[in-house]
Order: sequence, then C-alpha cells, then structure tokens
Amino acid sequence: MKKVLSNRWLQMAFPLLLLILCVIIFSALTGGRFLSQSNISAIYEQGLIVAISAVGIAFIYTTGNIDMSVGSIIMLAGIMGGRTWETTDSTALMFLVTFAAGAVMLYLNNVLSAVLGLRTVMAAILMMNIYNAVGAELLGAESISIYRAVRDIGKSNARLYIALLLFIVCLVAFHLTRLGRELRFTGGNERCAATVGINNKKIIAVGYLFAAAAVGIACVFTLIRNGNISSVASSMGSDLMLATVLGGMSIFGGHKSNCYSGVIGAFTVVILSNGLLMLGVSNTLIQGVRGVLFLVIVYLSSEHPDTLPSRNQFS
Amino acid sequence: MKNLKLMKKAAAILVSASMLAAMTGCASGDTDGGAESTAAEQLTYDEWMEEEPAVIGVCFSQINDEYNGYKSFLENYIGPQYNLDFIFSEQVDGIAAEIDFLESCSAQGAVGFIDFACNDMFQIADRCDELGIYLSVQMPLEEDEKELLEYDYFAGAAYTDNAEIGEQYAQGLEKVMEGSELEGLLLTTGIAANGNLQHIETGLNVLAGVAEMADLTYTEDTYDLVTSSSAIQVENSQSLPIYIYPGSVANTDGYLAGLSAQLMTGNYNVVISSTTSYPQMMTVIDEAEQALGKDIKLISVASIGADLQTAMTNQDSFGNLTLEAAVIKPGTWIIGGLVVPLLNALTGYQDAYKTDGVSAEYVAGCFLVTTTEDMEVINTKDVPEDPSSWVMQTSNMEEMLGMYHQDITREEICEYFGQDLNGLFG
Amino acid sequence: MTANGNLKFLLQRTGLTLLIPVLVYVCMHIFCQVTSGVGLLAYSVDLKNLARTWVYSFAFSTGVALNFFNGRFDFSMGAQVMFGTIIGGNIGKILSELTGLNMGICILVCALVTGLLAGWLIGAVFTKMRILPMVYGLGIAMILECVCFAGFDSNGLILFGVEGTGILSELWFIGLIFLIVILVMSYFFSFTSFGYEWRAIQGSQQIASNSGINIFRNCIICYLLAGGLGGIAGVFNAAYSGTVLPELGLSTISEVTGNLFALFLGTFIGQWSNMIVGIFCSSLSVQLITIGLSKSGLSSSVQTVIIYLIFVVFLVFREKYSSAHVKKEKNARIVLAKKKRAELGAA
Repeated sequence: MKKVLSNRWLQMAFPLLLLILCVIIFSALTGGRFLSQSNISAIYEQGLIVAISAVGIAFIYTTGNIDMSVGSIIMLAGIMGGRTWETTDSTALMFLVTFAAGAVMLYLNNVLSAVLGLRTVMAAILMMNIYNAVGAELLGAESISIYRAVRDIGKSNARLYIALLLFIVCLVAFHLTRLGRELRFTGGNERCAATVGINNKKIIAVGYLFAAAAVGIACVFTLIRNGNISSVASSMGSDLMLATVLGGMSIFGGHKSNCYSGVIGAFTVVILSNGLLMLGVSNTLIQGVRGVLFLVIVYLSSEHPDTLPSRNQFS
Repeated sequence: MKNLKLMKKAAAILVSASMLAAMTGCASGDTDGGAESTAAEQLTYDEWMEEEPAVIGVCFSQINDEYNGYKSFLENYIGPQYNLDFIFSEQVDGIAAEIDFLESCSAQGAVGFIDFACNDMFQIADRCDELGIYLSVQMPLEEDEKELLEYDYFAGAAYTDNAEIGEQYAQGLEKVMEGSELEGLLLTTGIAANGNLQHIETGLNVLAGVAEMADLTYTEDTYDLVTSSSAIQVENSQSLPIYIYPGSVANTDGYLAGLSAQLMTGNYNVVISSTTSYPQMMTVIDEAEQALGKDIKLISVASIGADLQTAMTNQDSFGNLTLEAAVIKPGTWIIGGLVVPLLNALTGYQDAYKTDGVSAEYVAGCFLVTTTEDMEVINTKDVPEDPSSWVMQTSNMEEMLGMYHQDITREEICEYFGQDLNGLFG
Repeated sequence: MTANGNLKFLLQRTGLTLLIPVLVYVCMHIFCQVTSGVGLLAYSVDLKNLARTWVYSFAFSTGVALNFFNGRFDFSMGAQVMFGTIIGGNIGKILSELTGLNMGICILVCALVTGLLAGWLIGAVFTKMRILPMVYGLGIAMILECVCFAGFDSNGLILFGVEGTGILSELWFIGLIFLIVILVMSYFFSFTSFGYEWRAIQGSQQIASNSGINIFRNCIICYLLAGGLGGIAGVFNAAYSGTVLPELGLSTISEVTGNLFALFLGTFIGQWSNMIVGIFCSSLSVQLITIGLSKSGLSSSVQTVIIYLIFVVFLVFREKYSSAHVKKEKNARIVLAKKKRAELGAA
C-alpha cells in the first residue's frame, strides 16, 4: 500500500482521480441530482474565483512563501471599487480600480516583507488585519449593491475566457519558461539557488507580479459574482491553502510545484461542500465532516517525510 | 527523458484546460429553474399533502441555540404537518455564501427560500425570480426596497416591529426607574452607526423616553447621536450624564474594558443594551456595582433561552435581578410567519399573499419582561422538546392559510399576525 | 564573574526586560489622561480587567509560541482554547455539582486537563500524519469548532451567575495561576531536557534528530502544553466575559493572528531573560495598549489600525536593532582581532 501511494505517477494523478471519484460518489448517492446542469453551474461559479486566485498564488507558494491576506485584499479592493462606482457610476472604472487596488495591495506584502526582513506570511497577516480594520472603517456594516450594474456581465462568458487566458499564460510561464524553473529552484533551496546565480528577491518579486495580476482579476470576478460589496473579508486565504494542498501541491513549494493544483483543489472543495449539503448532512456537522475529509485526503495525497514537516515562518 | 518531460507537461496542460473548457457549458447564467412552483389551481390541504414534499431552503445568518430551536420547529413540527422538506444552511456571513446556498438549493429542486441573512435583498429577490423560487425574508424593508413586494416570487417579509422594540425599551426604562432617580444612562448602540434599523430605533426611543422622564432637551439631533461611530457624551439641557457607546463584544477589541471604565466613573446607574450581548456585559456591570457600592440597572433585548433564564433568576449584590428588563421577540411566531406566505403561494392562493400584485410585510409585536415570574412564563415557550410549547401552533398557522380559508386575504393575515400576543404568552 | 558583576548583570537584564512594559504604561497613562481625563488603571476594576485579559493573552501566546518557533504555525490554537473551555468547563461544572468542590477551581482544572488531553491527541495524530502543520491546523480547527458547537446544546460555557466562579476573577487567584504557569513553563524550558531539545530542534530539526533527539516526543509535548495553556486561557476569558459561545466558520483563526504581536514582542524582550518572561511582559504591554485605546472612545477599527501600526513600527525597529546589534558585535570582533594581531606582532 505504501509503495502504491508513493508511486510518483499516482501521486501526480491522485488529485484529479479524487475529484472524479467525489463526483461519481455524490452522483450515485444523490440519484444523479448532483450532475444536474444547475448544480454543475453552481460548482463552476463557486469554484472559479478560488481557482483563478490559486493559479496566481501558486507563484508565491512555489518559492516557499505563504500569503493569507487575499480575502482581506479582495474585500478592501471591492470597497475601493464600489466607492468609485458610487461616485462615477462607471462600471469599467470600478473594475479598473478594483483590479489595480487588489494587485497593488498583494504586491505590497512582498515589499513589506523585504523591508521588515520577515517571511511573507507574517507580513501578510499584519496587512490582513490592517486591511480588515480599514475596510470596517470605510464601510462598517453597510454594503454597496452593484448587482444591477454587473448582472449582464455575470451572465456572459467573459469571465471564463479571461480565466482561460490567465490560466494558459500562467501555465506557460510556470512550466515552460526559465522563470518557472527559477521559482521552483528558489522554493526548493534558497541558498543553492542563490549560489547558482538566481537573485531570490527578484524572482520572488516577479512571482508576486503574476500573483498580483491573478488576485486583481479575482477581485473583479468577486464583484461580478457577489454583486454586493461589504466589509466582511472572506476566508480566501485559508481556502487557497486548502485548495492548493488538495490539488496535490505542497504550500511550502519546491521543485514539485505546479500552478494547476489549485484549480483542481478549488473545484474539489466546492464539490465536497455541495455534495455534503445535497446528502443532507446536518448544517451543524457539515464543517466537522469536511474537516475530517480534508485531513484524510491531504494525508493520502501528501508525501510523509521521515522527520516532521516544518518551515520557519518567522524570518 | 526530454520527451517524457514534455509529454508530462502536455498531459497536465491538456487535463486542466479540458476541465476548464468543460465548464464552458456551465458559464452561462441560465440554469434549470426550480420545479414548477405555482400550482395552476388552488389546492386543499389533502390535495397538497398528496403532492411530493416541497423543498424549502433556510438560510441562517448565524448558528446558535436560538437558531437550532427554529430548525427543530421547522424540521420536526412544520415540515411533517405541511408536507415540507427543509434544507438548512451553514452559518452565512456574507452575500457570497448566501448566493452559494441559494444555488445549491435550486439544484436540489427547492421551490421556496427563507432568508434570515438578507445581505442583498434585491439580488436575492432577482435570483429567486430567475430561478422560480418563492422568497420569504426576515427583515424589515427600507423605503427603496418596497418595490420588492411587487416581484412575482417575493412572497413576503415577517419580522418584529423595530419601532415597537424601541417603545418597549422606553417602557422598560420607565418601569425599572419607578421609585428611583435616573442619575445617568449608558446606551450601547451596537451597529446603529452602520445603519442597523433595530439598533437605531432602540436608541431613538430610549433617548426620547429619557427626555420625557427627565424633562430635558438635546442640543444635537438624536439620529446623529445614535448613529455616531465613536463613543460620545450626549449634551442636554439638564446636564444628565448620557453616554453613547457603539460597537459590541463580538467585533470590538477592548469593548468590555471601555464599558467598565465608563461605569467606574460612577456617573451612570442605567445601562441599556441594543444588542443581545448582555451575558457578556453582566460580569463587568456586577463588578462595577460592587466597587462603587451602587445599583446599576440593565435593560436589553433578549431571546428565549438559557442566558435569559440565568439573567432573570440571578440577583446582583443589591438583591435586584441582574437583567432588570428584557425586550423579547416572539420566537417561532415570526418563523411561522415566514412559512405562511410561501405555503399560500405554493398552494395557489394568490389573494392570500398578494393584493393587486403586491406582497405584504407581516409585522409582529414583542414583549417586555421585568420580573422572574414573567420570565418563567416566557421560558416555557419554544422548547424544542415540547411541540405544544411553540409560540406558533399549527392552529394559528391554519388561521392564515388559504388551504383552510379559501377566501382569506392578505390584509386579514397581516391583522391576525400582528395581534397582541400577550394572550398566547399567558 | 564576581558577585557584584553578577548582581549588575542581573539588574541590567531585569531593567531591560521591564523597560518596554513600563514605557508602554507611562505612554498609555498620559494618553488616557489627555483623551478621557482619567488614568490608565484608575480603578480597582481596571486592574481586574487587565489581569484577566493579560493571563488570557499570556497563556494563549505561550501556547502558540511552543509550536511556532519549531516551524509549526498552528492555526488550531484558537479552536483548542474553545474546546478546552467549553467541553472541559462544562465537565467541571457537572463535576462540581456532583462532588461539591469549588466550582471555579473545578472548571479550571477540568479545562486544563481537557486541553492537555486534546493537545496530546492532536500532537500524536500530527506525528503520525506528518502533513503540513498549517493545513493540519486548519483541519483540526474545523473539527474542534464543530465538536464545540455540537456539544452541550450549542450553549457554550456560561459562567455568569454560577456560584463559586467568583474566584476566577480574584486578583490573588489570577496572580497565583500566573506564578504557577511561569514557574512550570520556565522550569520546563530551562531545567529539563524538553527545553534543551526544543531549542535544538528550533535550530535544525534534521540535526537534532540525527543527534538522537526524539523530535516526535518533543512535538507531542509541545502540543500537549499548548492545549493545557489554551484551557487555562479560555477559562479566564470566560470569567471575564461571562460566557463563551461556540463559533463556526474558522473564526477562531483570528485569535491566533491577533496574538502575534504579543508573540513577536515577547521574543524580543525574551532575549534578556527567557521566552516565557518575555511573553509575560509583552502580553502585559499589548493589553495596556488595548485598554488605553478602548478608554479613548475611538472606533474599534481605528483602534485596530493603531495597534497594528505600532506592531509595524516595532518590527521595523526590531529589524534595525538586529542589524545594529550584529554590526556592533562584528565591529567588536574586528577590534579584538586587530588587538590580537598587534599583540602577536609585538611578540
């Protein structure tokens, strides 16, 4: 069993097989309702934003850094975009401001971690709390409804095409260019990477650019999807970590990283949530069941080192 | 080796791209609607019970003891009686989760949706209209939201009258201050600064009540005072210490420390809480009472349950109840009121939930409880283990359903729903 | 080193350790006087409020630190606190009613024991599963939150109005618990093999393992202690707020991130003593800031922004201080080397 589980091809294919298995199981248990077009549509809508963010965030995870502030960034960028829309009544400008704000705020985490000499995860947690407080101050418990402005855009296929384009660009950049190789090398061993001439700070900064673009797009997609802006930050930070790990990639990066794991993981998470709800699992237990399933799945799909997995997240 | 690597990369790209491309068919906004939801003819009770159970989604804004009670009421009492299957959400803390749940309900063939979260009513109502799902909300509609009542699939709104909640607070203040002098008032305004109507109404009515009691006038507009986002002293003609304290224990760091600091000035002998976080405030108030050697009265809104029982059976160091007065909402009376318009819509009784194409807001009153005896009566209600304790009984539901009264109108239902509930509570 | 030298060293270290808390107190006292007209700790109740929040912050931050500095950022600490408090606390209430023992002490002991057991189990499972600690923490947090919610009719732990729990708010009792925790944890860290091994693993897990240290046992002990500390923290928090309600939706993660300031400041102060004393002082400093800001009447979001800006300023200072310190030591080494070379040259 151990030999089977440690087979590299099985490990690569496991996340996808798992996703397919979940679909099959839930379909069987719900009498086919799981595969209705409305449910598949719902899964697509619910997973798209996490998938897009995960594609970009993979560039950060690959280098061994973690950023948990994405939920807060999406919230605050949305508020900025919403205020712009209220002032100018321009949807295009709202999207532009939201994209720019989201991208800049994510990139700021990299700048801050460089200035403070901290791991990105610390800088991100710091900024996450500040963004949450600023958002609460700007909007409080109010909300800005933009549903009617974005409804038609939400019904079109524009988001899918943008998502596909981003995915292809990131896939090519990550797997077929020198950038991707250097990112994976840096994540594997920073010192060795520096020794062979890779400028770690520069490569991490470039990785952050890709992530910033993806998160900026995710901010815009969130506006379209939700049609409403509030100061409640989502749990996107932890969702991305879960999606990435469920997709078969280590959030500590390294040479085995890839940028499509998050896509697979994002839809797996949504399928699990939807499936459990459809099966009638009690709403008070659904989180616990999900937690157990996550741990089991991650256990089966992860490598298990001889020592304990750890990473200094301090500096 | 090189070819193998290339093949691996190509395979990975193909798999992921094909997965995304497969979603193309799902990208359009058109989805299967809910099952055929409007009966072509009006159904009697027996005819309705022979149909397939109607699926109703219930979206909770929080999951706690109170909502677990509502879940038990719907699942175990209302559901079997009226051929309804309920799907309950997890805790919904934003519009994204609310939409996700609505879509999941639609995928499961839901024909009705009860919304406690109400993060964006227009959007939810629009989506329900598109999906063919009847919507019932537990939230008062603001002026610009009244047009929702004209939506085809908007069945109605049921809630406790905020103005009456505010009036009960003022009455409670008058009652607890009988025989005592108001030395100063600390008013916690919750999220009034962010537009919460209930908290605003509470604040406005309390300030009005104080003005009448102490024969004073305020130098500033009371609406501005109540909706302040920072703590402020309210200036008035009698120089009576009145302190507005926004925020709540849940969302404000150091909230209790700030509250304690103000109480320890000794300026206030009444605390009015606009939120249900009085259990967290009681320790701080009790300690201030002991330190100052002075009785501080607490008035708050409350739900039926263990916290209320504790608060109104325990005495402070002055032999008074820890919670001197509680404004209680009528529990499952509201929940039943959310189900009634859905049932009328699903069984084809148009006139029962719409008049000239306009749905209704079903508004109920609330109670003021100032003694342990009153509280003990209240606490016998809405006990999940005892179906006869539900405030909304099926006998009450029948009075509002077209299945039992074919000619009943929307107005008659509103009148019945808004009746004085003191009789029901004994 | 002479006795005088020792004394001087001790006084110097003590002074440096207490410098930040004293400075913070003075600053916040002046701030409160200016904004609200009263001092920072003007009333006896203020001291009680401070003590309760301080012990919560101290126990929580120490629990997080145990795993954090060994490369395990444990997101489940908040959920562990909730679990120990609600499950253990309610068991304590039942036990007290059955046996007649003091309610407050029963609750505290049961919460501590529940926390220890939960921590042990979580640690043991982690050493078997060996998945990424952050992800593991998220999964455990989901499960623990759910268990807390499902247990005891979702009522959580209600302490208000419960006879016998007053002791949990008594200053002398809180001080006693502080003392016990500091002594026990300092003993563990400074005088047991656990402490040495912990520091060795902090340096390099692989080398520590190769040199014969049982890293798995050390990990389990870390989780066990963290769970126990979480139980203690939660009970005092419950005593302060009167009730602890279960939460879902991974909202307990914010407790972990919210205590990072105390953690980082604690390691900085701890360079002059040890990590435990450092966190003791840092949690006091952070609570003084929080209480001072809450008295000012500023909105909660402004208070949060101020606290985190102070955090950023501290991190910048820490970075500069470290660089300056390293530079100073380097210069000292250069001077020493030159001196030695000169001596050798003369010889």
